[in-house]
Amino acid sequence: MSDLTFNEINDDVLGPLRTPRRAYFIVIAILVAGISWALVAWIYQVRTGMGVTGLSIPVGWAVYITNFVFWVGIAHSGTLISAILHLVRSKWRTAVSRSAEAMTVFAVMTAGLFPMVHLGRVWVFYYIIPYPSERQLWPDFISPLIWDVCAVGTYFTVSTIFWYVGLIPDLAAARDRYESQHGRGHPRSRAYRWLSLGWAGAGSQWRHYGRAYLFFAALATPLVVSVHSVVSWDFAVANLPGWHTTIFAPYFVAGAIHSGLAMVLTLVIPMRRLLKLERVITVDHFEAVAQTMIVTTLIVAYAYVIEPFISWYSGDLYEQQFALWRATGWIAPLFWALPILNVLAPLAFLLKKVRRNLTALLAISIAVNVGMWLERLVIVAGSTSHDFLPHNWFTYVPRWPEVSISIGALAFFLFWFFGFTKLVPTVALSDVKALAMRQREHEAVLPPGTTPAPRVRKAQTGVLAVFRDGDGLLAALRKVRESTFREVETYSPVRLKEPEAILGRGPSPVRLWTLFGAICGCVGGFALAIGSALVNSLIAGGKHPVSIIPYCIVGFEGAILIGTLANLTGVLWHCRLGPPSLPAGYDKRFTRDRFGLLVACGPEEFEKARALLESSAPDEVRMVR
Amino acid sequence: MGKFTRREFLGWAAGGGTAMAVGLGVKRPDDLIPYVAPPEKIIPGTVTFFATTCRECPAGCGMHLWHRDGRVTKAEGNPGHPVNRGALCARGQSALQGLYDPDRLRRPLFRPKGGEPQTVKWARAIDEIGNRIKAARGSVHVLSDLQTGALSEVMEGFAAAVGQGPPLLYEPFSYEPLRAAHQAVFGLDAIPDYRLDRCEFVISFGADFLETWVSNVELARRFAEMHACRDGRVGRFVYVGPRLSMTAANADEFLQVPPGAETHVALAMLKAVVELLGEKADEKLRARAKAIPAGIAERAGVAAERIAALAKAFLEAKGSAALACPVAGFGSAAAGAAEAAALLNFAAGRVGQTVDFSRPHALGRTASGKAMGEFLKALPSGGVLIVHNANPAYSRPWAAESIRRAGTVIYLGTMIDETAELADWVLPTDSPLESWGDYEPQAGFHCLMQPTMSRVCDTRSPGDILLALAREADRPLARAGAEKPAADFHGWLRQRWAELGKRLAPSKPVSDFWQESLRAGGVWEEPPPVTVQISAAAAGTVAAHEQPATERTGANAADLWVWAPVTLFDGRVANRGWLQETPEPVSYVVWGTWVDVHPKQAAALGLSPGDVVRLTAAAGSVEAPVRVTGDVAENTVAIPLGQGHTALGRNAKNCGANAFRLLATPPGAQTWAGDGGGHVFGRVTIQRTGKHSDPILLSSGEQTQHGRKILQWAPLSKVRTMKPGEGDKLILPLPEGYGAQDDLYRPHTYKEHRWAMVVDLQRCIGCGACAVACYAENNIYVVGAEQVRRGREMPWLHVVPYRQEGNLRRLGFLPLLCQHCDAAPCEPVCPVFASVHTDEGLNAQVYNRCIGTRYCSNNCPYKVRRFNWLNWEFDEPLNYQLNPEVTVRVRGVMEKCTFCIQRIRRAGSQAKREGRKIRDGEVVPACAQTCPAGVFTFGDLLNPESKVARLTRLDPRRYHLLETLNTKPAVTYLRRVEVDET
Repeated sequence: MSDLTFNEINDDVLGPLRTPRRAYFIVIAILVAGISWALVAWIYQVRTGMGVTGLSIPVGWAVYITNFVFWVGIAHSGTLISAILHLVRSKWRTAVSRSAEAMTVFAVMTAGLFPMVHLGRVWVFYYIIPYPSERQLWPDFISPLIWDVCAVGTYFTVSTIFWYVGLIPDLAAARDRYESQHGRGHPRSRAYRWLSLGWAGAGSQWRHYGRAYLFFAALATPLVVSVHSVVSWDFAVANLPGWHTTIFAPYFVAGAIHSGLAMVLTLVIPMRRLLKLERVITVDHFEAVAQTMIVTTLIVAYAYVIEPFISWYSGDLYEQQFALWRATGWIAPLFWALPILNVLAPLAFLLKKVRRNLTALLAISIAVNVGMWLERLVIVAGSTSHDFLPHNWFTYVPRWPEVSISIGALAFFLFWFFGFTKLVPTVALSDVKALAMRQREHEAVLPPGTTPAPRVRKAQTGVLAVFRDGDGLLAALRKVRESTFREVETYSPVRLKEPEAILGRGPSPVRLWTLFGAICGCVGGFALAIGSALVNSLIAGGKHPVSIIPYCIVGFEGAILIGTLANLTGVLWHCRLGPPSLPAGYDKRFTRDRFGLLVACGPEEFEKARALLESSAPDEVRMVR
Repeated sequence: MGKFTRREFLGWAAGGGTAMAVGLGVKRPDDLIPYVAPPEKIIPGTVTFFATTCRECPAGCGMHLWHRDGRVTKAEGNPGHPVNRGALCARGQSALQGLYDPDRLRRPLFRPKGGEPQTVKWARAIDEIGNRIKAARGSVHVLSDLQTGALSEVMEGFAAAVGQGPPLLYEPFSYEPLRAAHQAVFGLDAIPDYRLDRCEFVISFGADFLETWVSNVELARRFAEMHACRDGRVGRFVYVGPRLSMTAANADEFLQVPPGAETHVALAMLKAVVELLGEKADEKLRARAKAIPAGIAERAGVAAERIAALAKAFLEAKGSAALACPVAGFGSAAAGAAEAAALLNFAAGRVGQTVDFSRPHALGRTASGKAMGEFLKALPSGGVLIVHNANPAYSRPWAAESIRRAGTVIYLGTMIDETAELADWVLPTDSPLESWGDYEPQAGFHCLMQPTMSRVCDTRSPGDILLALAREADRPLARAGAEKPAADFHGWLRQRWAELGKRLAPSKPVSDFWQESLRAGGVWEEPPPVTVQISAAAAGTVAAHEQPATERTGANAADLWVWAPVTLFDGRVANRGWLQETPEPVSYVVWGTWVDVHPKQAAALGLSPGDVVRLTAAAGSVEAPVRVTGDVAENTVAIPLGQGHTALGRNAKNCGANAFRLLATPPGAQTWAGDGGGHVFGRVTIQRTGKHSDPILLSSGEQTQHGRKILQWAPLSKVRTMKPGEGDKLILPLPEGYGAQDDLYRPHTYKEHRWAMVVDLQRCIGCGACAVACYAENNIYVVGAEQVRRGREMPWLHVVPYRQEGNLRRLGFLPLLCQHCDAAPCEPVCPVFASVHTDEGLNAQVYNRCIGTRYCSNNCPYKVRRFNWLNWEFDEPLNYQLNPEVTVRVRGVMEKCTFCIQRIRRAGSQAKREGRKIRDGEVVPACAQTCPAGVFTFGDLLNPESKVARLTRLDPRRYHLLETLNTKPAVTYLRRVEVDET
């Protein structure tokens, strides 16, 4: 991949954004039909009552909550790949990060349907939202379901923002490509123009952008760990045998990443082939995913072993009998499928041959997906159907609305993903280009005593030099800095760190936005929870109305959510993003493979500037008036 | 339509104009307050109580009907009534569902020969039937259910005036063997009053007296008095029979013997008792005992030592009683056991002490099988047969043929049952809750019935119908001693009671006597004592019963045992949803019939649970699925009665199988005296049908405890030595229940009250009356068979059967309702505060707030929350029964027991008006109110003087369900007592 030129990368990644063929529309039609049928089933369920499902007392939760947990779990690997691997500077992430992030957003959207679908009275779902109503009754922030709302809501917001911010430079690249191929009037050109918010790849933008992206990753990392922990607490906080266990948070997070990585393979392997991305996404990338899955496989295997062990070791009769029942009762066939599908199958990745065989990868990833879905079903419906009092024990069998809606949800997810592959760049274009450039890894050190170069206004006149590579740009930039010209701007398809040092620009002030936002969010979360508890002043479960421990989750999610939103505001503000207008003299090739240096000056200094720039042998030099 | 006349035009115009003026979707006025001129003393929104008498079975319990805004909403026991003392069984409470039955007969029906039934006007019906009676010229016969008092007088007068012979009083369960035994032994064709409350030891030979036997509420109450644990003492109860019935489950010792072998045990006991008495015994008794072969009990598989011990206990107890004869029993063995029991009672001096013949039961008036057969045989084809409120076509299927042949059949009743389907004329009668009447269930208990609300349908009282028919047939009836014919039945009743008043209260004005009796529900008279002597003939008659039953042939042959479940009795109430959905206590089956088969026999026949078998007896056959259980003796099959209707209504029709088909005794065939084989119900063959249909269980019906100590027993030897305050240290639902080790959150306090309950498991007999009371009080919906199968039943209170660890024969009943935990697991998981704690300690569910996440139910370890899975609609007019003080829940919300918060509020308001605190015992939840056994104690835990506080803190048998979960429940259970010493 590193052998590819910027141009080739650009063509490979943006090429698929053309009008699809007929087969694509047929698939979309099938997916829409699946979604519509699920919608019919859901409307029937809402109008008739939850009695149309196979649910009962005691099995109050089953397939719907299984789907919720499953899809939230799927969402995890996207953020893992984008955020955590970004923080640890992992290289292989770039090829699959965009599709993984898209998968995250769509999976959270799909997951978010199920709390609605499973509600007995969906028409009053908004009771669960904390808002000042005239009833003066707030939701209970002690309830794990409210934590879910906070965590999944935050997760959806953050991962969508993260995804979108990552897309901005690539949307700009798509804009420039479409504008040059089809003209400014083409609907897609217009769309990309508006969506890219006036991104020009200017050095002043890259500086804030890079810093903000780092903060997004830093905020998303604890979030990804917290979300599935919170989801696991839906169960662990309850007292049912099989649910009430401290292992659930790490077990669920590991399982989520396990299933999420499997879903990445399931989606990206066919996508790579259909979109002809073989040069950008290589088998090496899949191998890296498979290697990561070995880690999650082992964690999941550990959980599978430790769960029955703890049941036995606890000495708790209910836990012991439950563990035994799970292995021998009506749920046993499902239970025994789990170690086979989720552990034995992916352990094959220990063999390099398997890791590099796309068919095997695809087959195993599907097995893991099925296995992880079943795991959630065993957890959700297993414990509820076999609780404390034997006379309650019940066998759960799903009925057609549950099956229809579950399949419809899969169609819903795929529908969005198919749309994604044809509408936005499926690979993180600028990241891949940056990787191809093999930059020095460390941040350039600011020479002492440098005065920062002032920002260049959008309508500023000056002289623009276009370079074939970054080195030419840097050489010219150094010369300009030594001259009397103070106002300069660089343009590049990837983030360059040296120009920031040369221009004497320090760390981006975006960090202050983020810090301020996170603190406000944390304080606000606690204030909301405590304040509303004081208004309600209700005793639930023998707990005092104000219970600080559960409110930590609200404070945490608040910090992440508001921190992210502040970070977004900061990056938009400092990068001057928003209106789609571009600076004077902007060249469409800057998002492709060319580098630019604008020396701001009045018409009287044009010649002097031109001479200075031409001494660095640019491709071309032109006046910007 | 012909010419449209001016008159018709004006009529239409007036009608149309009115309809437009009031709006076409106008609510029917009786949805609100139906009076233009309101009756006196009825204030809208308040409750008035009407005292009346329950006529759902011959027991004749007193009832109080809650009357609100023109309709009755709940039936409760009349606390002043001598039979039931405030308690009422499930069937009695379901009288309301009988009143509001959507399938009730609404207007007279005429079914021309071979034609479709057509509704007719009352005037025409009376006119035509009167003419028909006139034409029958004396060939008029009357068949009725058991009646005494005024209606009985009218019937007798009617039969005498227009017909032949007295009316035949028919009851499916007439206890003929019992009465015949008493006739043989004491010369009295009577069912005495069993004073179990005076006993220390009770033995039952197949008599399920806690379920349906004679007067079950009365006997259950007395049994609970005897059997309750007081100061470490309990009365003992031994049950001898083939099936672990609800009654048998309450026994301290259950001797399982094959059907008919109860007789042998009883005779062996008799022999032992007489031997123990020695010279003190009556000479005739000694002769009788001598004739009993030694070792007769071993034949039934009972060791001689057991017999000796039982005989000793029976004799030495301060009071004891032997009961015998299953409700539907008719074979010679049933009579044999009854006779042996009678002799036992006599030998031990119990007759006159615990067995009181001075208050014989009205059931003694009912016709014998022989009389019934002769009556039906004698029906001429040209005559008139009037059937009142009896359903022989269902309970004596062979009778259908005779009835069909009996000329003009006129049926008087509230429902189209199997017999009504055979009738030419069906005249709808008032429900017992709509009519005047009286009933004397036991000698001296004169009980009154009064209309508790206006009629729901176009019905008439049966007395009025008979009087009108007699008038129409030109034979107007007059009460003996009256000057002129009675105008209506109410007048007749008043005349009778005026006479009664003169006799019982000569000094009182007649109107005062009437008013007082009406208010009290009747008047109770002390009957003269009866001296009972054993007849000389007793010695010789019972020899036949000593014969062992003839040997069975083939693996598919089995002894039959037929029984009447506490919920359905003889099946007359089978259309009532409450009763269909209340599980049979032991099997936990709802909505259907099943056959109990012993595992050995099932294995021999290759039957697995749920396989449908055909049982064939001499009289007929039925098909039902199998329940494989050791609850029945080997080579015995047991089948409940009450189901398998082909008519009666939407709930009863086609539900289960009619086990009466196996019992039929056509005239001249088997009767109790003549089967010659030592049988109770005879014998059947079992055939597989190849079909499969699992009986519908409430929840899973799992009864094993799996070592979880859910329903606990305490050994008597330990309980006896324990002082108040000893025993488990409970984690109380109060601030003192806080433990720094176990609790993360500091305790919270209660302001004025902390409501709590104590459930005495030793008292609980499992009858399920509490569960039905909860249905009635709290507007709980009956979901039907299909939804029960899916786990969607709605009761807020289950009475769950659990077996003792390691001893499947021992069964206890656990009334399971919301435990109103102090640290309720359901509350903190609700995201919207729909489940919250009140400052009186109640775990409240706010229906309006609930969004239906069902998390609370998942997290409730007791699983006492119920979810509204569908839109439940109450069929008209069942909605009239709804309690206006309790919200009717919509689909999608969770609901649960509230400790009857509406009753707490009512008592609180009353106390506030009177400027005082709520008294202990003033708040009585519906379940506690109706319980015949006094299982529930409700009250305020903050009041140290309250009974509930004393029991919760001091009773040595106290424990909490699943206490290890630290939920701090407000319901404390008192352990059952295991008698581990003789």
